[in-house]
Amino acid sequence: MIVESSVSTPESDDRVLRVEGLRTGFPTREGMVNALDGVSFDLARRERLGIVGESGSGKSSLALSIMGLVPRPGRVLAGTVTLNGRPISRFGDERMSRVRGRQISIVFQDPLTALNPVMKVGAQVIEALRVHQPRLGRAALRRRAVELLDSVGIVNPQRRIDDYPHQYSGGMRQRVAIAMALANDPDVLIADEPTTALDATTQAEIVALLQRLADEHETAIVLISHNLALVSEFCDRVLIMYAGRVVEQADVPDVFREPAHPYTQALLGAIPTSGSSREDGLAAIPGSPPNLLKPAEGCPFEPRCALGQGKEICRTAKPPAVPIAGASFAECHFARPRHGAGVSASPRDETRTVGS
Amino acid sequence: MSSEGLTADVGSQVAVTRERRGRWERSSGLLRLAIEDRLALAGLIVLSVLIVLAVFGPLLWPQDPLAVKLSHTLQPPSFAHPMGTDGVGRDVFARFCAGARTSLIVATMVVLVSGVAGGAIGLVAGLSRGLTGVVLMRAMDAILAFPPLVLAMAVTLGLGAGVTAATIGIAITTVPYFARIIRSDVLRIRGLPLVEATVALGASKSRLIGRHVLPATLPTVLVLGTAAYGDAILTLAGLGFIGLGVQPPAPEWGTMITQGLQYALSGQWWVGVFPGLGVLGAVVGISLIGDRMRDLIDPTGTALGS
Amino acid sequence: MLRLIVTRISTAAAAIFGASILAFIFLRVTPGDPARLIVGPLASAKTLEAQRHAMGLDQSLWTQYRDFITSFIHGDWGFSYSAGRSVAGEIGSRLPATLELGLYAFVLAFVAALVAALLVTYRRRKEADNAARLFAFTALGVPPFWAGLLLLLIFSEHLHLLPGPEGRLSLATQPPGKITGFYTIDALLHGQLATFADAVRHLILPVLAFALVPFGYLFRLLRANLLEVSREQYLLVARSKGLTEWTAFRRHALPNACLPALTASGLMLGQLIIGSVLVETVFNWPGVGEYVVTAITRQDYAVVQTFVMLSACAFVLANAAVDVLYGVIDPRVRVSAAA
Repeated sequence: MIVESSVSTPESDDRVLRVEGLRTGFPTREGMVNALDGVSFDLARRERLGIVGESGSGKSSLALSIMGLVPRPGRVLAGTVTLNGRPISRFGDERMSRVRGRQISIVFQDPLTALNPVMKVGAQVIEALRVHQPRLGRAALRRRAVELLDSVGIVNPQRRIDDYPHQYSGGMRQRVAIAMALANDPDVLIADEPTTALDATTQAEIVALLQRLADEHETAIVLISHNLALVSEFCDRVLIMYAGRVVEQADVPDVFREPAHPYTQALLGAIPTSGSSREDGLAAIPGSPPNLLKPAEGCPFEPRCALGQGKEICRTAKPPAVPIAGASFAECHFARPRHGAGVSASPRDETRTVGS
Repeated sequence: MSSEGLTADVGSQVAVTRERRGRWERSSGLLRLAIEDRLALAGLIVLSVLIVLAVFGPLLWPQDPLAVKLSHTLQPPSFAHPMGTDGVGRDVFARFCAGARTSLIVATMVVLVSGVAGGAIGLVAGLSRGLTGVVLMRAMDAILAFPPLVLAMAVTLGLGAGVTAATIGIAITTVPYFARIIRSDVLRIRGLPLVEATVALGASKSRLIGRHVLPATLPTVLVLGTAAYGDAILTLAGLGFIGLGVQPPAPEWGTMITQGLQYALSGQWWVGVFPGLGVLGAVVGISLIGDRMRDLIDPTGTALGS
Repeated sequence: MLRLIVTRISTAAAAIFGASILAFIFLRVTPGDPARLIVGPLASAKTLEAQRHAMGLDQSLWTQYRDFITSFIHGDWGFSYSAGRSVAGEIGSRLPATLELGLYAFVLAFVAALVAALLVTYRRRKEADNAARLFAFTALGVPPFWAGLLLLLIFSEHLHLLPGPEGRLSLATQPPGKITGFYTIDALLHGQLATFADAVRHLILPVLAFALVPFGYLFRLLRANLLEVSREQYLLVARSKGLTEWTAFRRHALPNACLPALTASGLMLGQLIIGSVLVETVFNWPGVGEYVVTAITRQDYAVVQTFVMLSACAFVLANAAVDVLYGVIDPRVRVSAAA
């Protein structure tokens, strides 16, 4: 079942991106691996949304699914992605290519492999400009590219524009990737672990750069990270992902004060069984991520859960999305609405049936 | 983790789920996986048939490959002569089997000789930091300066045409490939911190490296061996075609094709077509097996280059 | 860059030097007594001695080697009694035939390999990939002279579509006036369409037989490269900028995959030399390879010596040139070589 986007509702003006019941699978010899199993969320203009989860939780699959870039033989099986009121998940490659880079962009994790090694950096930035602004002349394109490189903090851009990627450091290449992503002023920027591959100092610089540029361009940002500290600093709202599902959605201050889902609690190191907290803010959780070939009958987190491990209800029944406060919810049998907070109808209720 | 780059997260998702299922497959060994690939299986079957014909040919088909029968020249394939007879009435099938024997023996000898010689040269060149290593590798470069068949041609010409000369000639052209692989492995392993540390503790460097190099290199050498095997069969046929390989009347596929050439245009296709099928089957068979082995050893295909 | 060129040229020179020693050993020292071959088994000891002296065989090995090299470098390649003229002259007059054959074969092999590799890698069709891989293996396993025999059987003997092994032109057709030595091009330049058509008809089968092996090599190489490059993240980044899948592939994957194929072109020259030896005789193609095969059967050693030395020089120099060229094109190689 696919829920139609409702362009006419009053709140839709504020929603730049809307993801509903997204399911993405990778066929393997053993069967379909469900990387995303019914993901829904909204993104408001200028909002900064964090997406957190262990590796293998489906964060990157989500980013690629939204961009329409899921590598073959994987594909989006169900659900819709609506950008500025248009159902981009139904666009073919040709039509989607006019949306990518213009309305929605992405920055990937590893800057060292993001640039074509045998093409000058400038040419690659210009390519991003020209594909959406074909009428710009050579000189104008070059001028814009220099401006862009300058705006992301490349020193001496007039000269560096003619360098090859291997002459740039990792941090500089990530700056170039950001410049290319923002070249056409997109409404949404997805940043998929943009700092993970970089050293600490460079990480801070890149975060500051993203922050400044997002303000300047009024870009909404989806920040994918396993680093809760970074997300808490940068984002307004956070989605916690596990086994291809959003298991908790919360505003940033709340999720740190009162995490509702046991998985979130474990990630935060809030409960003793979760092991010691690591430097990067990610707690090591005992046990391994779930087998996506055979989705659990009950709660996918049950085998590792400090709260529900072995409990009958957790093993046999899918947990409902329990509203916590506002639009926040947690998919846990034991989650309860927060006292004193007004609970509105979750936007997710209507799409609950899609993935389960 | 970062070096995985592209969709590392997606990859780990698939990998995690595969882990449990994958274990029993891996444990059941190379042969099982070779059989799973239909092309490799086909290669294995073709090669096995040729080996059977080469070894048991005289028992299965007791006709003399050299027996001239001028009353039965150029007979088309029939029950009496499954592959027909040639211009002087010899049974082509018997010659085909004998040719298989020649080709397979020569190719085996080539791989053994060049593998051992190349391995020794590579080992010495990798271990010696001095002039010996340089000279040996320069000698390998000199061999590689020739297109393979051209050098084999020159060697065979120098030693006097014949099967022994051809074997030596082909083996010489193959030696550098083994030498280079072994040498680079020796150099790589010699640079490992563990090895350096153990040597610092007083272990014998040569023994240590010998013990570590051989197992580590064996898979690569096996794959290279299959490639060399196929090339040897082709080069032998080529030398036969030029007139430098096995000398008539001894049966060999390359010379048989050459003889078949003159009959092909008058309609007696079987004289030249069947021996060519033999070469083709043997070479394709061994390369399909080698390719599958290479996939198993090195799924990304980076270690061996082209 | 200069450093890359200098080191590459010096290793090439060393390889050629080593090759010349090998050629000297196998073609001058081990074959026994070339003088005896020339004077024949019945000649007296005195005649033999005179012949040995005339050939410099009574000199020391070192002197013999020096003479061997000097005369090779000076283009003094001896007299070919099988052709009845100088080796240099005969090779020179036969080279265009070989080059014309080789050129068309390589163009065909490259185009076909690129198309096939694109078909199987861009859409990743497993069945198509298996079929193409099997065909490439077959192409690499076919002795070229046998492929020629099959083609003649099918298209000439059986279907009567194309001419048999009668060389570059039908007996009735006059060769076009020589400009490039390529009959197809010369015929066009002279406006002789009938001659052009005849030359093309005679080229088809030898070109096909010739192209099989290089096709197999290039297909496997391009397929592996394309598969590797199509996994690269910069391809995904290019698409995320707004390039369509095909445009991204064409601009970023295709050049990067073809670039390493360049290194194979040195190897391809080796295949050209071998192919010429193995294919031309089948079609009575009057090229260098056919000459060498004839020379071998008639024990015309001067021809073989020259051919062996020339092959090594061409092969080594082509590989060196390719390496240098690769350095010019790929900035990464340039840097690592300079470092």
